[in-house]
Amino acid sequence: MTFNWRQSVKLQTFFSKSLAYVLLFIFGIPFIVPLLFVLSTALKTASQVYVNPPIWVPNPPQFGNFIQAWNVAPFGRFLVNSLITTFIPMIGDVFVSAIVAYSFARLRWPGRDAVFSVLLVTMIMPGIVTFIPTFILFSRLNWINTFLPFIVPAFFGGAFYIFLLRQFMLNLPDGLEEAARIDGASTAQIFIRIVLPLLGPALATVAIFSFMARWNDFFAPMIYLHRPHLKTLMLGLAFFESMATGTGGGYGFLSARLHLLMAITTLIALPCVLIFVAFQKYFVRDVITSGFKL
Amino acid sequence: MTIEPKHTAGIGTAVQPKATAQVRKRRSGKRRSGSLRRREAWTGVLMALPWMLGFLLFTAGPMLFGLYAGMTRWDMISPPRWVGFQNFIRMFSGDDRHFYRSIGVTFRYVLMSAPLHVVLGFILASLLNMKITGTNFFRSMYYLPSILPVVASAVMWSWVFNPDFGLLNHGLSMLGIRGPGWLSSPDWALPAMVIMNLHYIGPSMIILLAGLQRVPQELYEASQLDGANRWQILRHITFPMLSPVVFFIIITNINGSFQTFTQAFLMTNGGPRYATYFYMLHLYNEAWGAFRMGYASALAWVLFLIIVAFLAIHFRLGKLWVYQESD
Repeated sequence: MTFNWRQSVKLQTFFSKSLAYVLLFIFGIPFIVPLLFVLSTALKTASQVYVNPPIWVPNPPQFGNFIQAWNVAPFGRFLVNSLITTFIPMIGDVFVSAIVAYSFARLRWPGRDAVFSVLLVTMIMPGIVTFIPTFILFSRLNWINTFLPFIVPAFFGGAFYIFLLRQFMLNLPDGLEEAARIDGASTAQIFIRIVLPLLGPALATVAIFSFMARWNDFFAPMIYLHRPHLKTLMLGLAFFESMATGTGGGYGFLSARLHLLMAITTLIALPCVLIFVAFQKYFVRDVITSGFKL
Repeated sequence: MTIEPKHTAGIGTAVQPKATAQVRKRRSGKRRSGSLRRREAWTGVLMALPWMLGFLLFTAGPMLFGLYAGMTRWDMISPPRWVGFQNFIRMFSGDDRHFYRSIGVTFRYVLMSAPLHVVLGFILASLLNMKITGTNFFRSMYYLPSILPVVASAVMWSWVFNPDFGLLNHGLSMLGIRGPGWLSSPDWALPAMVIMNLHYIGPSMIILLAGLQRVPQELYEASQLDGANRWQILRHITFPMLSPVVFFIIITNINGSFQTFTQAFLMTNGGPRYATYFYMLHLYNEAWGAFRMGYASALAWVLFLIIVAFLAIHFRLGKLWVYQESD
């Protein structure tokens, strides 16, 4: 009797687990296959693109498409601009936010908690309400067609990054800092020598979030960078799309250069995919932190 | 009743180290002289200063200025002209035909997108919570599209939605269904955007998964002992425990769709026949298309108030029916 019962439980878990696998695979199809479809289109010749049913594995794969696509527009220039508007602001996002976060986490000053609750409010505020006035401000400062609208605000720290870093610092033991303070170390020394090295993983998280937000941004570059030689990769890609498919959006397009468009799309998305594969745990963990605290 | 003593004992031991730490802190605070404390305060303010200045320069200042600009007519060439509440009257009286239309599009989008995010996210999270090998692989697979640049995703989906050679209609034809024109069809363009948005389900799924893993295992065991069936466990334990997470996802979805811009701008530019004319698209066209900065500022403030209203509902009403741990 007991033997049978156990066996049936085993059988049940076996079946439910198999079912889970099958479902996970079936649901996975719409998540992965479109990406593979883009990759496959990127490796086709122009004449293989508009074929029904689609060719999945082009033979031979046209790896030259990537080079050809890269040279359709000055994508090298766009890449440099993307690197500038991503990595210079990232320095501010990471280090200025860390400095501010330290003040909120460890130092006592009057009004600190009130200021921090203001910070929490700005975190959930939609950015658009400040976008038009900031645009007017920057255009009055003649910052249109410069990288300053991206760089300068970043060096005032980001609310969300400050919040993440503060949470992390609150969980650090403060024994080392106390000891250093008793030994007569200044706050700056403690912050640089003791706190920053301990913050490694948290700084990496902020760097990744900052990279993703800035590398993928479309709206701000579109508004601030109009000259062709200042455009970022995202603007370049959107420009190439409208060029390759004709204006008026992407619906129903037929284009002789669709394979090149897919090739450049693959190249531009690739850094994000690589960073995701390399640092998955940061994505998962910090999505959760940000979710539960809101 | 029998569980209680155990429970409090657990809490007692867990809290103790924290309490001693607090006592220690208080003591060391007392030992510190006034000048040291004053110096700490100065250093603290100094280190927080960048953000406080940034808040004044790039958040508070612009917000107030935006409120002022919302009361003017302003093309950025001639100086702004004060018009009072005229911009808001134009908006709500229906003089601006696109205002209600864009709000309608945005809400229709939320009404389709949010439930799908919750239901599909819950199914995926439950499957990932079954402790089978390869969970990490599947989780990454579902999360991967969420990290793609929106511009790249827009290009990809335009191609997938292509009526004649796109992947979606090819898949449907294999099932014997003749697919619609998707982005070129006024009826199907918005559902197409909803389908595209499902690719960004990763964060919802992860938060739901974390929510599932936070449900105390004892609750399941106790209810199984009491003879509850699967549906009853789902209905009376899992759903109530997940309600804050679900609520959060809905609010995030509302927030997100009111700020949906890039994909609509690139894929349909609001068309066909305004079927995908999102609120942000309207705002963008007013500000950077027609250079009606005053009116666009008013639109931005209304958008701000709409989102604040939903957040207020999130925080106030949420407490009434959402189950929350009291910690």
